[in-house]
Amino acid sequence: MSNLEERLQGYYGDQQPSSAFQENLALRIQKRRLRRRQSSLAVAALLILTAFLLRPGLQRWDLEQRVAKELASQFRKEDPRPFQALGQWSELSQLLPALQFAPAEFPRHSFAGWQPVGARYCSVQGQQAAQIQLRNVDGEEALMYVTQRQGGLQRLEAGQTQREGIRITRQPKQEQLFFLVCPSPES
Amino acid sequence: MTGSPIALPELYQSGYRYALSLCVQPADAEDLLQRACEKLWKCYGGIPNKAALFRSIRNLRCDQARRENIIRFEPLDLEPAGRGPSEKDEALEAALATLKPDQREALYLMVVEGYTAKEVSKLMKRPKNSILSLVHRAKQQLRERLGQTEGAQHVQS
Repeated sequence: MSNLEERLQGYYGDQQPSSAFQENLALRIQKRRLRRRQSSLAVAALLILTAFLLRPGLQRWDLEQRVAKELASQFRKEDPRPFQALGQWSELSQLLPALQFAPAEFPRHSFAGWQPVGARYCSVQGQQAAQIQLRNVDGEEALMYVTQRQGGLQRLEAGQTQREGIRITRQPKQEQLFFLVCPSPES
Repeated sequence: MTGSPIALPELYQSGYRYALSLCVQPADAEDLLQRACEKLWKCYGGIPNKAALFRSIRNLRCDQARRENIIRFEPLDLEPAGRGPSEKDEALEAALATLKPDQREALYLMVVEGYTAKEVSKLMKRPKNSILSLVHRAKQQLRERLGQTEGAQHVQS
């Protein structure tokens, strides 16, 4: 190493920032750390709050999707069990005596144009339900499910979900849930 | 120029010395170091490594020079920094002040920090040969300048 290089290293080695500057810098960094920790905590709290607020909505959406998937798959599946002929909606309780609930009045305003033609036992998300075969004036067929609005199903509100070309319409009525399952017009 | 972790005070010392090689004046170096630290804290929540600190110091210095539209050359008759350098250091300090900023920077990085020409060329964004040439010329000028000063002192005594 040359003499000049040694001198340069010695010169720069002697240089250091003033102690006041070092203290000031340490103080600023400490403040910044504190501010950063505070903002991290605030962000974490905000995230937790957001998750807490969004959770019911997400759970409901998830349930809607699960129910829609189940009903769409039942609609596609050709269940060999026969439907018992149903002329009047009021005969449903007599036709399915083992039902644990008395089906509410058929919500005609929500499912106008559909006429019940048959019924059999079924289940929705593990809960007993009545599966009703419907037909409209054009001869198209649809399925209706009636079940009690209890357990997880309590979270479901009126609405519609499309799944694999099947439209599932939900309609709550008198502590019961009605589902109309028919092919989606867009499919 | 690796990103190996080093203690903060040591990092500040290195940063300060590098800043000093860019601006000559201790107050300017402190200001530059402080701004670089704050910038890094704002972006990364800390100083990732020495290379990042050097880059930040360099970029800030370039911005400053661009704003001033000229890179200031420090006058030869500067007051000594007053941080306890010996008489020899004063001569060296004055000699260093005559160098161009890029010469001083390259010289500092290679001789004091021990970076290779390739590493310095990456930091300074200049070809390796240009760096070697800068350092060679800087050393030559320093030797000439120191020779003159010491010669004059010898005659006076």
